[in-house]
Parts: sequence; C-alpha cells; structure tokens
Amino acid sequence: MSKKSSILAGLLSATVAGALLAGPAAAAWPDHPINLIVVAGAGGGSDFTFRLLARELEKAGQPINVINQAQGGGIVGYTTYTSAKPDGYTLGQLSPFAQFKILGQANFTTASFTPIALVNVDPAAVHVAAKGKLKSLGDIVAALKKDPASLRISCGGTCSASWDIPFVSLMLAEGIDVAKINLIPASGSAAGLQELAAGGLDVVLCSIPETDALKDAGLIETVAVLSATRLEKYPKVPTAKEVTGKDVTGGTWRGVAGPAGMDPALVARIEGAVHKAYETSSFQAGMKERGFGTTYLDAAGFTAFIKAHEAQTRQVMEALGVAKAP
Amino acid sequence: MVIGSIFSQLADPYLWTVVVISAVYGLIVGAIPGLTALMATALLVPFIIFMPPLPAVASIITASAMAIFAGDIPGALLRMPGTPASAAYTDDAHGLTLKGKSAVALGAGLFSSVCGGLISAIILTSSAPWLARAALSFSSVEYFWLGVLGLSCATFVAGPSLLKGLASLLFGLFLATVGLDPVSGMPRFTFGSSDLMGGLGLIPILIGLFAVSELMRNANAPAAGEAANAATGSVIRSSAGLMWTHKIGILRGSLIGTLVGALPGAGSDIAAWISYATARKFSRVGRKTDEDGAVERIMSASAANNASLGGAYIPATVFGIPGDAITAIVISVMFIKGINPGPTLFLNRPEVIYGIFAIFFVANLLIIPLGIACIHSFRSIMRLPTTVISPVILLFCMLGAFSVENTLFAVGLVAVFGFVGWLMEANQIPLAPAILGLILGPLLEQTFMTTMLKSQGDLVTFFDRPIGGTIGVVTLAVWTITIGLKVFRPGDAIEIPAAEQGRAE
Amino acid sequence: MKVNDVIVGGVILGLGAFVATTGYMLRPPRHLAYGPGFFPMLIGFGLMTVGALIAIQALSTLRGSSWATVPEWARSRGGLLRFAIIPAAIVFYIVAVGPLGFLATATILLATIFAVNGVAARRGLPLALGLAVVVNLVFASVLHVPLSWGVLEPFSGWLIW
Repeated sequence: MSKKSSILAGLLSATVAGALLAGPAAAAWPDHPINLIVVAGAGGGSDFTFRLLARELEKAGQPINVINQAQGGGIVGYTTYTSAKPDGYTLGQLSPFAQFKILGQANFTTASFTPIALVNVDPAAVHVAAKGKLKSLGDIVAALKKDPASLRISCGGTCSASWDIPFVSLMLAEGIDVAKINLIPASGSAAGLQELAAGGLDVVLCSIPETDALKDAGLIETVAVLSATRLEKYPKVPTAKEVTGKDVTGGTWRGVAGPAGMDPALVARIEGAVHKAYETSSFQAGMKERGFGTTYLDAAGFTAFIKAHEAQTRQVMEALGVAKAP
Repeated sequence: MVIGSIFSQLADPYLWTVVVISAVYGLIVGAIPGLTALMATALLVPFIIFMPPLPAVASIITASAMAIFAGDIPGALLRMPGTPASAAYTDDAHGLTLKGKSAVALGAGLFSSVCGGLISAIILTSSAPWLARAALSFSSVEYFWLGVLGLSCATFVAGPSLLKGLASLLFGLFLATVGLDPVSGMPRFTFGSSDLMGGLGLIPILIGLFAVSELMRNANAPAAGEAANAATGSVIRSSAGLMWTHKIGILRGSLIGTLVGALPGAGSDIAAWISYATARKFSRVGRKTDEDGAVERIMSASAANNASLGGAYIPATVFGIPGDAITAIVISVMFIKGINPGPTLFLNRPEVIYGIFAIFFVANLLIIPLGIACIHSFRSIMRLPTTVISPVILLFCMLGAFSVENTLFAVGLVAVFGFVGWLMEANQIPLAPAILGLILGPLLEQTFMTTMLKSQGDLVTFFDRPIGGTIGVVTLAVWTITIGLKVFRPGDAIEIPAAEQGRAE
Repeated sequence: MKVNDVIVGGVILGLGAFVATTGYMLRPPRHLAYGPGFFPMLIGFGLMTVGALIAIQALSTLRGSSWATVPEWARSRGGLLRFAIIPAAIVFYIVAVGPLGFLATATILLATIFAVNGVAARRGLPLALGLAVVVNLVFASVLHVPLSWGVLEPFSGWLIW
C-alpha cells in the first residue's frame, strides 16, 4: 500500500513540476525524445513523408519516434495525440479530418489541434480506362449531366475523403445533382485502379504517382488533375480549370500539428525547426523522387487552410446527403 | 534484366545474414513443442518491420519453412509434435524411434521436406505470373466468389463437429465487422470507444488465440519429461537411399501440399493430414503396417506440409488473398513495405516478386545443413526449462502485438483473446475457422457492397460475368456437396481427430 | 473449463441475437440497398441458428452429463495461480508500463511469473532483470519500438540508438 501511494506521489510531483516548467520549456525544446504520430500505416505515402521529415528534425538534437496508428482511418492516431499533454513532445500528422465529425465518427474540429506547419499537398486526379468510352473530363461531365448515376466512380479509398470531395465539389460547380452520383469506396487506390483496368469501374479518383505502373502498361489514362497549375512531373495532364473553366482544386495534404492549447512560444520554436527541415535538400529531393508535392504554410497560414478545408468538406457532404443529421 | 537483378539482390550479405538468423530462429521455435510456425512468424513481425522489403519477406519464408520441418524432431523423439503440421505422422515417426531407427524417421522427414518445398517453389514460380495476368481481369464479383470459396475451407478445418466449426467461422466474421463500416463509414459495435473504432487487429487476435491460449493450457502441464530417446546416428546415410524408393509418395505429397496450400484458408497442418490420409488409403506401400509403410506415410505427409508453404504464396502474391495464417501475416507485412500484393505487383516490381520466389529455393536447400545440425543439438534445446521459457514467450506475445499496432489496446486484445481461445479449445470449438473468418470477412463484405453499389442493388450481377459466374456456380456446388456429405455421412467425410486438429498435444 | 454443449449453444445463440439486433438498428445514412447492418444481421442469424442446433443436439444427450467440468489443476491453489497469472500479467503490463517504464514492468512481470512457477528468487530475479534489459535494448534501443521509458524518460535520448 505504501509503495503504491509513493508511486502516486511521485507521479503527482512530476506533473506539478511539469506544469511549473512550462514557461522556459519552449527555449529548451527538445530536451528528450519526441513522439510523432503518423495516422497512416508504415510504408505508405504519409509514413514516407514523415519519416523523411523526422530524419531532418532529429538534427535538432533528440531522437524522434515515428509511431504509426492508422486504425479507424486515423481516428486512433488523432485521438492519441490530441489527448496528449501539449508540451511539444507529442506531435502528429494533420491531414483531411473534417469528415470524421460530419459522419459522426469522431469529434475533431480546428479547435482540437494546434496547427504548426503544412509541408505537402497532393492534388486529386481523374483516371479512366485506356480502352474505355470516356476520353476526357469533358466526357465525364457530359455523361453525368445526362444521368448523374450513369458512371461507376471509385473514391480510390474510403468515400467522403481526400479524392472524392474535390471532385464532387467540381461537379457541384457544374450544376450536377451530386446526391445521385454513384460513388464507390475501394480498399485502396491500388484495388480501385486494378478494377478500373478489369472494366469493373468507369472512373477512379486518386493522386497521379500511384497510377504510374498501370499507365506504363497502357491500361489506364489520367484525364485531369485538380490543381491550380499543371504538375512538373506530368506536364501532359491538363488541370480541371483548363477543361471546365471552374477553379476547383483539392486533394490530400499533410502537416505537423500538436494537441490543442500549446504555448505560442513553443509553437514558434517547433515551426522554426520544421521549416528548417522542410528546406533541406534531402527532404525536397526525397519528396520529388516519389512524386509528392511540397508546399509550405506556417502556423497561421495552416490554421486558415484547415478552416477552409472544414467549410469545403461540410458543403460537399451536405450536398451529397451523407452528413449525419445534427 | 529481371534475372540479373534477382542475382544481384541475392548477393546482398545483409539478406544472407537475415536468412541465416531467421533459419536458426525458425528451427528453435519449431523444435519447441507448443510453439508453432505461425507463432514464429507472428513474433518475427516487430523485427522485420524495420527491414527492406526483400529481407523482410525472406525472413518469414525461411523461418516458417524451418519451423515446419523442425516440428518433426520432437515429434519423432518425444512423441510431441513441435508444430501441428507434424501431428499427422508423429506416431509413425515415434514408432521408428522406439525400434532404434530415429535417424531413419528424422532423415525421411528432412529430405522429403526439402523435396516438397522445392517442388512447390517450382510450381509457384512457373504458375504465379500466368495466374497474375489472368487475375488482372478480376473485378469485385470474382473476388467475392473467391472469398466465399475460401470460406468453404472452414469445413476442412472444422474438426469433428461441423456446427462448432461454423460457429467459430461466424465468430471470426463478426469480429471482422467491429470498427468503421468500409462502405458508409458508420461505426459498428464500437460503443463510442475510439480504440474499437480502429477495429480488432488480426495479429493481436492471432497471438491471443493461438499463442497465449496455448500458454494458458500448458500452465499446468507436467514439464517436458524424458530426454530424447536413442542416438540419432547419421541422418544422411540412413535415409538418402530411401528417397528413390518412395519417390512417388514424395511427389504425390508435394502436389497435394501445393494444392491445399493454395486454397485460401487451408494451411500446412491440413495439407499434412490430407496427404497422410491419401497415402494410407490409396498407396500400396502406404497401407502396410511395417517400417516401409511408416516411411512412405512420413515422407508423403512431410513433403506435403512443406509444399503447402509455397502453395500458399500463389493466392497471396497473385490475389492478395492469404492461403493460410502465415501468409496472412506476410501480406500485411508486404503492405507495410509498400509492395502491395495483387496482380499489379507483377507489373510494378517483378524483381521483388521473383526475388521472393528465389528465396523459396534458398530456404529449402538451407534445411539440409541447418536441419541436420538442429537434430544433433536438439537435446540441449530441450533442456531449457519451460518454467523459464513460457514467461519470456508471454512477454514476446505482448511485444509482438504492441509493435504491430502501437497501442496498449492491442496488448489488451491479446489477453482477452488468449482467454477466449482457451475457452474455445476446452469446449472443442476449433480456432482456425475464426481466423479464416477474420481474414476473409472484410474482403467478402467490401466486395459484396461495392458490387451492389456498382449494379445499384441488382443481385444478378453476381452471375452475369463469365469468369465470376463460373466461380460462383462452382462455389455454390462445393458448399452444397461438403455440407451435404457432412450432414448425411457424419464421421466419414473428413478424418481429422479432434485432439490433433489445430494443435499439438 | 469444459461446459455442457447446451450452455455453449446458448452462449452462441445469445451472441447471435446481440449481433443481429445491433445490425438491425444500424440505419444507412444514404439510400443504400444493403447498409452497414446487412452483414452483421446475416452473421447474427447464422450464429443464432448454429447455436440453437448445438444446444438441441446436446439436449438429447443431456441425461448423465454434467453441466460443467472443472479441470483437475483448478482445484489446487497453485494450479489456479499458475493459470491466472498469465492474463493477470498482461493486465499488469497495460497498467504499469506507462508510469513505470518497460524495463521495470518487464522485470517485475518476469520475476513474479518465475516465482509462481517455482523458480527460486535467488535465480529468478537476476534472470528477470537480465532478460528485461536485453529485450529493452533490442526492441527499444535498436529497433525503435516506442516502448515507454517511464522514469528513464529524461535520459532516453541517449538510450535510443
């Protein structure tokens, strides 16, 4: 009994000491290892991006544990780091999150996080079978205008996520009755693309680098990318704006964030470290090699960015009729 | 170009270090009664997760092939099969040992294991690319039917009671539905917990059901008793000649093993049982009760259990569908490594896939020197007291689950499913069908739902594609026949005694 | 522990009823022909059927068979302890690994099970400590598994290689 209470006392005093040290903590950061939660499985694009970033961040003097918690589409990982102490030693990946609350899965809002910096944006793209009837984004829009349910469109992963939200947003701008669109979830972009090649689908939405192999085999083609300008690595793919005239962009993005309530001085210090890591040539080259985009936004810019993300997601999901009744 | 790249990959000293360490590890785990090849694989995960793709997969292949073979050693010497896959011929092998011929029993197991492994590797290498090309035209309809066909294997692993096997299968299917629904994203059976929203991980459940429940069952078992019987003598001299005499048995076992291994959900233990039963029923030599008959049966079954490993990689690499629980782990490791199994793998990264196939040949040839060394050092391995070993294994079980999922919740799952597994075994509910359900559940549901979304609710779509419709009809026929046989001729359909099925006593 | 198949069937039946009703209550958010509750309902009905059949089959042989058989070892306190220590150790690990750190937790855990299994403390304690150190070095230091360092947290920067 006495042993137990002494452990408790020790824990309590550690917590109190931690609270007292909060002020000068910003200057000392980092003085012990940092946990960085990645809300995706090891080996994927997110894991790659954050391991690359962590390798550069470690030069600040402390090891970084990259911890993959992909369960529940990332809900488990977001829960882990948003409920951690806002001391700068538990950070996490922040990627599209607004759909969780709208679907009634979890309660994350902008207020759940302390955004630190955005490091990557990958635009969504529209892919069709090489031998199919659809040859361009114009064909797809025309077919959907005629009958919104006529095409089988794969979300390239779960629906109401990075790839289909911007696409539906574009179709909304075109005046199509999006609630009737036949959106089909896939267990991943690879599965969706293979099914596209097998003739089981008409359109797949996902990022461009994922389609390289099947494109080389002459099985599929990319008809449009939802970004402001054409991508450096894929100069032949037109943007959605060039084809339709509607300026709709979107896709997935990855940034560093912490739990809500972090000290602004600490945020500034961490942001400085992230920016330095982002600027290194090894991070830039590593991202370019895998075909991942690099875009930087500081803490203020990233906060505005995720607010816009929340608004776009809500608008699209309400139009789709998938939002949970409040 | 691909061949050149395979050889340059195989020349990597790091790869060889990994392969040799995994081989020794697999032999040790396989030779300890109660520890299965499956557990050896599950415990490897935290180590290989940090390796490059080829060494990671090579490590599993080598360790599992070694463990399956090594299960023969305590089976022959102590009448305690090291892995369930050796259970079929334990009595025959132990009988030879009692006659002072343990070298013959072990040699027969060793060389037929190598042959079985090599033959299945040849079949794998030559047929997988061809199957992969065919699989590129598979849509969700075909995958759905393959999943249903895979479920029919539950009747093979069901043990004596079909009803209890089905209960276990349905339990596994239910476990797979916990978490977010893949189609609508609605939480199911989560009770508002974010941990449950993440779903129940396969590996923690696997470790709980198989390893921890085994530890609980053995907690009060008497310590491994008498020392190994009889001198082992020269393994090579006493059995190399027998290979030619029993070549038909070995070939038959290898083919059965590859085929059974390739069926989704049926693994090395089932392959060994079926091959053993075939040798006993249909072979002139295998029917005999003398030494010759025993050697024939050992060789057929031992070739089959190693051959099944190669066979299991056919659906795994071509369709991403696990042939058994070991390949289920391999598939998740491959995903983690960014080499997503499926037909596109053969287009994307042929050098990786052929590198993996090459490892099969290497691993099976390595069985000869390392296996002989293992047989000779077996006594010292058996001398480690279980009172010390089992707590360490328990610690590894927790670490294994934690390293895969990175949550303490996963460690809790290990405890819960350890207890559930122990209760199930005590009440003759087989564990294997539950794992089968857990693996195939998400595949079935996702393909069914997406097919329905694509056809907008029209069920006819399951039969109107030529390949899909054919597989569908075949599947329905297989289900009708197996259930019909079980119901109308109980006891006669499958001869897998309850006690041996699924575990080694 | 072996219980009568009537109970086994009943438990499966009950699980099936729970799964089926929960599945029935899941309403799809969009007009899907087959919503998220469809598969759970199928599975639930399957479990109910199988459970009922197991129970009915067992009812016919009920006479003379006991409701539950407690295994021999469970009658002795030592036997019960050797069994219960396994799940208890896992629960202890989950509770203790955060505050105490892996090293201390694993040492206590191993030493306790060794003691329960009859290994003398004189041998068991150093063995437990040694094993815990080795496992901690291999998994946390070399393989970077994020095991908790607990009280060692401030120094852990030097312990991760």
